[in-house]
Amino acid sequence: MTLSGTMHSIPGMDNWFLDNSLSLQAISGQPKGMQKEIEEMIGIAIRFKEEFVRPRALEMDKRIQRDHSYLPWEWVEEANRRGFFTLCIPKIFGGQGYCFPALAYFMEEIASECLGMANLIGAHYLGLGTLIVTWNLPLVTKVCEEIVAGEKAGKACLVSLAMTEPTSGSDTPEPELLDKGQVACHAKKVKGGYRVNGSKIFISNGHFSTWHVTVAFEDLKHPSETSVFLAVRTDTEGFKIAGKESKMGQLACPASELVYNDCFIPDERVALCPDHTRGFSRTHREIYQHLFDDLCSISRAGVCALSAGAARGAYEDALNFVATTKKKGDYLINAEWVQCRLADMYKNALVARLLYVETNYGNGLYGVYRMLQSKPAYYASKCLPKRFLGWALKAAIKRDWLVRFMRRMQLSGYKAAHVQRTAGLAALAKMTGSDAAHENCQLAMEIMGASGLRHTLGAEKRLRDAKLLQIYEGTNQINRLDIFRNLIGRSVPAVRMHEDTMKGRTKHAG
Amino acid sequence: MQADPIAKEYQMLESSVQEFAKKVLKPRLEENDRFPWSEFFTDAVEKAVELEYFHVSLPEELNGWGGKLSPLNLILKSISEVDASLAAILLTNAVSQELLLSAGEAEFLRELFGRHKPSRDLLTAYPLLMNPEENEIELSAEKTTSGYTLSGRAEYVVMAPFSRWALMPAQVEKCQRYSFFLMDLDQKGVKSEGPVFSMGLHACPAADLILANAEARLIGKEDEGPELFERMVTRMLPAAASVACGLMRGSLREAIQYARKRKQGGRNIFDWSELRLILSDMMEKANVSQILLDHAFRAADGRESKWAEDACTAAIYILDAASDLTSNGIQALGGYGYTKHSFQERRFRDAQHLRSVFGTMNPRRLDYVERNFNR
Repeated sequence: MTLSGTMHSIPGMDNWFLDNSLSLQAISGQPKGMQKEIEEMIGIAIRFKEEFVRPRALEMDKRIQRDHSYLPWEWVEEANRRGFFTLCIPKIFGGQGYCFPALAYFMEEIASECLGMANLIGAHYLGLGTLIVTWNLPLVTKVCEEIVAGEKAGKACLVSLAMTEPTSGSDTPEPELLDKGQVACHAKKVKGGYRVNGSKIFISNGHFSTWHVTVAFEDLKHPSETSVFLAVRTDTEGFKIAGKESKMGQLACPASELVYNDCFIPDERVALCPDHTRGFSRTHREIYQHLFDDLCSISRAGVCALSAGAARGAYEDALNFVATTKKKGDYLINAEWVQCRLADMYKNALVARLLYVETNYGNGLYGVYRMLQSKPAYYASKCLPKRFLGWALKAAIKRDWLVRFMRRMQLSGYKAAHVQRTAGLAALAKMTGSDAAHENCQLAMEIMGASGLRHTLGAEKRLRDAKLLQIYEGTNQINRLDIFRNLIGRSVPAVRMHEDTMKGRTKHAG
Repeated sequence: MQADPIAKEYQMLESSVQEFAKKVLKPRLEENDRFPWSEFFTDAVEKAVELEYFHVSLPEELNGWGGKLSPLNLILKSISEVDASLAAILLTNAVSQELLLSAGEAEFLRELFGRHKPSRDLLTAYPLLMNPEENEIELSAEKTTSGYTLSGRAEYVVMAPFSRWALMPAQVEKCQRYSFFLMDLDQKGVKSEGPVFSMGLHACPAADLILANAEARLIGKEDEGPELFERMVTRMLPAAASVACGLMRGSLREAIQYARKRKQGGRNIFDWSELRLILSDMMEKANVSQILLDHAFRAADGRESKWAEDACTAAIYILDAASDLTSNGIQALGGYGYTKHSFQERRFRDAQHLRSVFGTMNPRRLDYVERNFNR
C-alpha cells in the first residue's frame, strides 16, 4: 500500500492511511520544546488539583446542589490568581505562551479531580479560540490585553462562546443544519456596526465572562451565508445574562442564558462578517464551514481530554477503593471480576488520552495550531523578548493590508481534505472519549456498590459530571454524522446527508 | 366473555395509584428532589398509608393482598413512574414485612397494623443496599436476660430518619451465621448520623446508625439470617425491578413527548435516525422488562414451579437495563435532559441506586450463573 492508499478500490478508503497516521506525519515537524512545556503544564495542574480542587470539589458540588443560583467565583479567582486564563495566550498577545496541545494534558489532569473546574478553564479557551480562528488580529489583541490586565489586577476576564439557541439544537450547528433549522439570533447591519436581537442558551461560563463571542446571522433564512461573529462585552447596553441552568453535574461551570435586546455592536468588535470575506476565493458559507470544522477540531479534542481525565479519575477511585476495602476477609482487588473491570477502565482511560493526543497532532499539522507550532514561529516566540513581540504585533495590526493578507491566508488558503481529516478525528475522539468516560464512571459505581452512591466518596459526582460529555460540543449522535461526513463520505460521490430517515417509506398511522 | 375479576381488581388498583401519583406526588417532585434541604413529604406518605399501599404485602385480614406480588408490582411501578422515592420507601417496608412474615412474626405486624397509628409508627427501616453474604456485618448482638442488645455500626439504613422501627442483620457472639433483629429507633442506645447525602432517591433518605447496647428483638431464630435473607430476596428483588420498570416507563414517555415537539435542522428530532434508534432501544428495554416482570409475577402468584428462577432473571435484566435506558432518556433530550427542567436526569440518578439493591450487580450475576449451572 502507498501512503495515499491509491491501491484501494473501495470508495471512501482512499485516505485510510493518511487519515490515521497523523502523529507519524507530525512528529518530525514538532518543536522539541513542546514536550517540556507539556510536562510543566501537567505539573502546574497537579499542584492546583492537590492544593485547591481536591479539598473543595465535593463541598462546592454539594453547595450548588443546595442552591443552584450560587456561583463559585472563588474558583474563578483562584484560577486567575494562578494565571490559568493566560497560560496559552501566545506571548505576542501578552500571555504566557504555553502551546495549545499542553492545555489538553492540563485539562485532563484537572478533570481527573473535577470535570466542572476543568470545563471552566476549557470553556474560556473555547471562547478565545473561536475569536482567534476568525483571525481578526486587532480584536484578538484587544481581548487578550484585557485578559492579561485582568490577571494582573486580580479581576478575572474570561471569554465565553455563545452559539446554541433555544430553537436550534445540538450545541455546534454546522452550516447545513443551520440553514434548515430555526435560528433566531439576528444581527442587523446598521451604520457603524450591528444591532443584535435574540438569545443564547447553555453558554458555559456565561456568568463569569467579560466577553461573549456571539454567533448571529444577518439573514435568518440563510444563516450560514450571513453568519456574523461578534465580540460582545458584558457591559454592552441591551445585553443581559438572564439565568443559570440547574443541571445534574459539572456544577462549577455555570450554563447561562444570554439575552440580546437591540444590542449595538460597533464595527471594531465585529470579529467576522460577510463583508470581511468578500473577494476571497471561497464563499462566506465555505469559510463558515471551515471555521466550524477548525473550531470543532480543537474543542472536541478538548472534550476528549476532559473525558480522559474523567475516565482516569473514575479508574483511580475504583482502584483505591478495591485496594483498601475488604469483603468477607479479603481485599476486593483479589476478586477476578474486579481485576477485569479495572483492566477495562485502564483501557478506556488510555484510549481517550491517545485519541486527543492524536487529534492535536492533526491540529498542529493541518489545523489552528499549525502556524504557532511551525518551528520558526515557535522559536521566535520563545526566544524574542515579550516587549519586542508586543511592539511587533502593534506595528503589524496597524497595517490593514497585512491583517487582511494574514486573514485571507488563514481563512481561504486551506485544503478541504486536511480540515476534514482533523475535524473527523476530533469528532471520533469526542464520541469515543466521552463514552469511555461515562462507562468508567459507571463501572466505578458498579465496583463500589452502595458506597459509590454516597456523595462523600465522589464516584457519583463523577458519573453525574461525565454524562454531560456525551452531550455538549454536539451530542455523540451528531458527532457520528460528522465522522461520516469528514472521514467516510467525503470521497464517495453518491453521498447525501441530513435527509429524513423515513423519506419514501410508508408511514404507519397507528 | 366475562372479564377476569382479579384482572379488573388489578386494573382498578393501578388506576387509583396512577391518580394518587398524579395528584399527590407530581406537584411536589422538584421539592422532593431537594431533600434534605426541603421538608420531607410526610403528607404524601400519610396518604399512601391511608390508601393502604403499605399494607399490600400483609395477610388479607390486615387489608393486604394475601402475599401476592402482582399488586405490589402495580403499586411500585405506577408510583415510580412519577416519583421513585416513594416507591423505594414502599419497597423498604415491603422488605421488612416480608422478613417478618417469613420469620413467623405475623403477630408483630398484626399489632402494628391492627389499629390506626401515625405513619412513622408503621414504618420499618432496613439497609436496603446491603447483602449480608457480601458485606462485613458491623453489628454485634449480645444475649441478655430480657432479649438482645446490639452494638456497632449499620450503614445506609433506608428510611431510618423517618421510621420508628429498624430491621437489621447482626452477628450473635459464638454463632456461625448472622441473625435478624428488630429494634425501636426511639431508644437511648441509637445514634443516627443524619440523612446520607447520595446520588438519587433523595426523598427516600437513609442514615448510618451507631448502636451502643440498643435493645433489640430476635426475628426468627439465631443463625437463621441467611435463609430469611434468601427467601426475602427471591420475592423482593423482582419488586425492586418493578421500581426500575416504573422509572423506565417514565423516562421513555418523556423522551417520546420531547421527540414529538423538538426540531433540529428543520425536522422533528423524531425523524432523525440516531434519535429514533435511541427511542427504539428504550422502547425495547421498557417493553421487554414489562413482559418479563408481568410473567414473573404471574408465575409467582400462580406458584408455578420455576417462578423463582424466572423472577430472578427478570430482575437482573431490568435493574441493569434501567440504568442504560435512563441514560438514553437524558441523551434523547440533549442538554435539556441534563437540566432539572426535565425529570430525566433524576430518573438516571435514581436508577443507579436500584442497581445496588441487595448488593452489587456483578457478584449477583456470578451467583446467578452458579445457581443455574448447578441446577
